[in-house]
Amino acid sequence: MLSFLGRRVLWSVAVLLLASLLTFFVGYKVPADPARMIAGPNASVDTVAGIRRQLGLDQPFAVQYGRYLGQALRGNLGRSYKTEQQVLPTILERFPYTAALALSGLAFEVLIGASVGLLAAATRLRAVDALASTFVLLTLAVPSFWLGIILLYVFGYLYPVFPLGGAEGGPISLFLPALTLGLSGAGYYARVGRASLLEVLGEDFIRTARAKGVSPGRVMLRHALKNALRPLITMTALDLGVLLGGALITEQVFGWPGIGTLAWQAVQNIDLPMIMGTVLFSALCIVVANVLVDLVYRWVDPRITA
Amino acid sequence: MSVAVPSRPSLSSPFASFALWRRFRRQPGSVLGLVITAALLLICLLAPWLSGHDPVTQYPDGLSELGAPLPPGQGFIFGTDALGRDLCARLLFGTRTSLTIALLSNLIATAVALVLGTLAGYFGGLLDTLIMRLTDVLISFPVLLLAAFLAAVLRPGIGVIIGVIGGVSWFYLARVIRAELLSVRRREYIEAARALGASDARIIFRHALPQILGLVTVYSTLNFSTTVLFVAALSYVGIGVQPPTPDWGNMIADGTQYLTVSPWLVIFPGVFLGLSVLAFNLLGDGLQSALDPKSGRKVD
Repeated sequence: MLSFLGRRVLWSVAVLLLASLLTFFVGYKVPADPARMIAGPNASVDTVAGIRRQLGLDQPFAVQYGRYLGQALRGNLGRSYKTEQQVLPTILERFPYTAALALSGLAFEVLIGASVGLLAAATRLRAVDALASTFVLLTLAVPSFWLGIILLYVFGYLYPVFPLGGAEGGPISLFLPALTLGLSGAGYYARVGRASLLEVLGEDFIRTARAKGVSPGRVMLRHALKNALRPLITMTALDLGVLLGGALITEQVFGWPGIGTLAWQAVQNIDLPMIMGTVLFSALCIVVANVLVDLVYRWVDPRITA
Repeated sequence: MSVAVPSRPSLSSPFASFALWRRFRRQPGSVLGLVITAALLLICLLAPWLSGHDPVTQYPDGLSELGAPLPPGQGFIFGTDALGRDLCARLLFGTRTSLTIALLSNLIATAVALVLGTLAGYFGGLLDTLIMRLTDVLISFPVLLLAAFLAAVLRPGIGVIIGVIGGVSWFYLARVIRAELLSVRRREYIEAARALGASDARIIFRHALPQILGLVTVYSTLNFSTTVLFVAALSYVGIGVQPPTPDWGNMIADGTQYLTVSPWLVIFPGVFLGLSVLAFNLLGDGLQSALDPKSGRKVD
């Protein structure tokens, strides 16, 4: 178990290193000159050269990357080229917004998706199944940003129940972005939930339970659902990792001040330290979620071995 | 292929393709998907003749007296946008742009996945480890952010978008291909071919790849719908297709500014986008159950 954990963590660190190397390399190759962007269009050539020296941009790639890595390991991700704010504190400042959106979006996703899928499998009614299939096909087809805009139009403008974006309105302004995230991901949960429950219902132990006279409701709740939920829990954990890194598009549509918006602004300004920071933060969330899922799996089901 | 015992009907024999069509046809959804796909294909081919208007011309009679976009009807079937351009023409030409970019990026992704997946699955060993670790890294990557970064850095252009999207959407398919080849390469007829002295290249191209052709078709079709959404998302945030060239994503972004006065500017491109994703998903699911009836995975 411990050696597994050690290997898993080691590999995650390698993944993060590779991700940082890749992003840094793209940034290094940028045709735009960050020193010129900081100095402004009217600055003299000398000023620009000075800034370049000061930031170490005149150094070779290996030196620059080595220095970045050394500082990053000490918790210093540098300063934004654009706003001159420290990168890590800025990301942490935005994190509560992204976390709130991630958790509430995930709640919608799981509640809507899983209940549709499990209901379709549990009732075995043709009509319910057809409705569930339609729901899955629609949620998979409708682009999330379009759904967000339409929801804003209907519930923010036509029937002004919710604020028109931003986070100033308090918890209520979280509703529409969370619903958008939730609906656009719910199809996958419905699909997996349905397939998983159907599979479990075909297992021998379900037949045994029925044969020994357990009531249908109890079979469903105690025997079937408990086992069918496992893949859904895995999906939830992995999705949480992805969402905690920032919902790039949804945050954009709703003007939500999370990490996704921060990353997006950084990309537009070619603000390399901020881009590096947000990419690494997102990758870290995904990697940690993956390791945790693997660990929990082993803990729950000791039959799994490396 | 005299020793071959195909687990799935091969796509090459005419008899098999008839059986395939019969199984495909059994699901109304698949046929609907095929019909919509055919309609979209026709739109792509015939856009200039179907539209009647030019997609980038700003028509003087395309705006109301107050300078607002015209609602659907009144000489412009789907209305006009804020610059007085015909929305119908932009939608038809936008279909062409969006689907061409998605198709080409999907082809790139499929080609990369085929090469890397085959190398990893057939040869195994160190090569397999390296390629699978690479997919691990890419899966942990915020892909949309990476694509946005690349597209922003390389300055927006259609070639760049195709390359970027193709370059970041191959790894899932590569894993599927690898897993399938791992099992295919242990089958008897592969052993037999090797015993008869066939080279690796011959075994791969004549015996192994034909077996996974159906699988690749299914996943590539399903991936196509993801790619379509990807293109639209990039264009929506402004780093995909650049105006005035119409594309579903940038049309939705444009229309958002006028959402309260002319919601049709957002609704129509979204419907086109959604319908095409729906069609490719239906098509992929239909192909899957037609090619692999034993899988028992119904379209859901």
